[in-house]
Amino acid sequence: MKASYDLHIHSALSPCAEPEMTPNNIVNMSVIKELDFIAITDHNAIENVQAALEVAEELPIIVVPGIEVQTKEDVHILCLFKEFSSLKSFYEELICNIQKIPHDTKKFGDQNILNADDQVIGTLTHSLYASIQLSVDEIIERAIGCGGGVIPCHLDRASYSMIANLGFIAPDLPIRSVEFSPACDPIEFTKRHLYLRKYEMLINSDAHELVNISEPVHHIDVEEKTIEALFKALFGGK
Amino acid sequence: MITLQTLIDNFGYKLLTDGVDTSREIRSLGCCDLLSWVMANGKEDEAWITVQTHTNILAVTSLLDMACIIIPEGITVETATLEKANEKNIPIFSTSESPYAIFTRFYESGLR
Repeated sequence: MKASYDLHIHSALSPCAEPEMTPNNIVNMSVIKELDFIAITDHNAIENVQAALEVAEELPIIVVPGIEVQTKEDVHILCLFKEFSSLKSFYEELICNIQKIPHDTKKFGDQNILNADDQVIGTLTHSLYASIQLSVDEIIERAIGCGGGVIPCHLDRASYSMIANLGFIAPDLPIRSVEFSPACDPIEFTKRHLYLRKYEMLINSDAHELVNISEPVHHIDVEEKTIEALFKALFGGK
Repeated sequence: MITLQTLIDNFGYKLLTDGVDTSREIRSLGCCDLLSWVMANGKEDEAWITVQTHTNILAVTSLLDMACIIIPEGITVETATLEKANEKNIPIFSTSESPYAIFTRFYESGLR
């Protein structure tokens, strides 16, 4: 079956996202848009994922536990997991390696933690814009070690992208899927980077506002609507 | 003339890799950390200053046939990168100096 997806959405925890990006708003908007799979992927943080999973329990949508990691090379990588517990064990290692720069709410906005009723139950006080002091290779190794899969983000962008920052995707990295921005035409883009065509090419919204969450126009072939089938389509193997 | 040997003898930079020809001449100097930019604008025989230590820096250096990589500010280079650089005979230098200080040294040594 063809499943619609948007695997890169920021919640109100990301300082650059709008306060309206609450667990209920994101999940319900995605249901209205008839998306099959979504992922809440905040910058270097996971505190709002559990609430989104709870909201989605009774709804016809699958929330994939995830995070957008900023590596020490300032490369953004989506790390997705089948279970929240795997994401959590990955995150516990990450958080020891984040540069503890205090967050300036006035300049950059709130970093709010919300519960499944959209109530603010806390804030993160270190800056989520800081990089994790682990390399691209180390992040990928750890994510896969925790049972996850990785997707280099917005390869067409001039910053925070593996192509811009590191020049190319090293062929020995265990990467099967790559992401482009909604503004990008992957066929045009890959004319200049032909080797990218061997990867599963995804377009995610990277939404920071509700209105930018993807319409059901990007699809991936899955055997059934389960996280296992999605992982098989994205990352191969099991 | 500035050669790789000059960096060791006169500048006091530490050569981290083996098997390189230190008589090679450096003809220009550049500083950039976005590898896509370096791939597009780097030059043959250039000494390249970067804080990036990912193994991809080696591929970029070979692609453009640059003279060497200089890692500033005393940044540590991963063992995997050094091992690969040894295999490919790519010179990587380390110094505690800032890029500005590195540029000053090259200028004062006659690189124009």
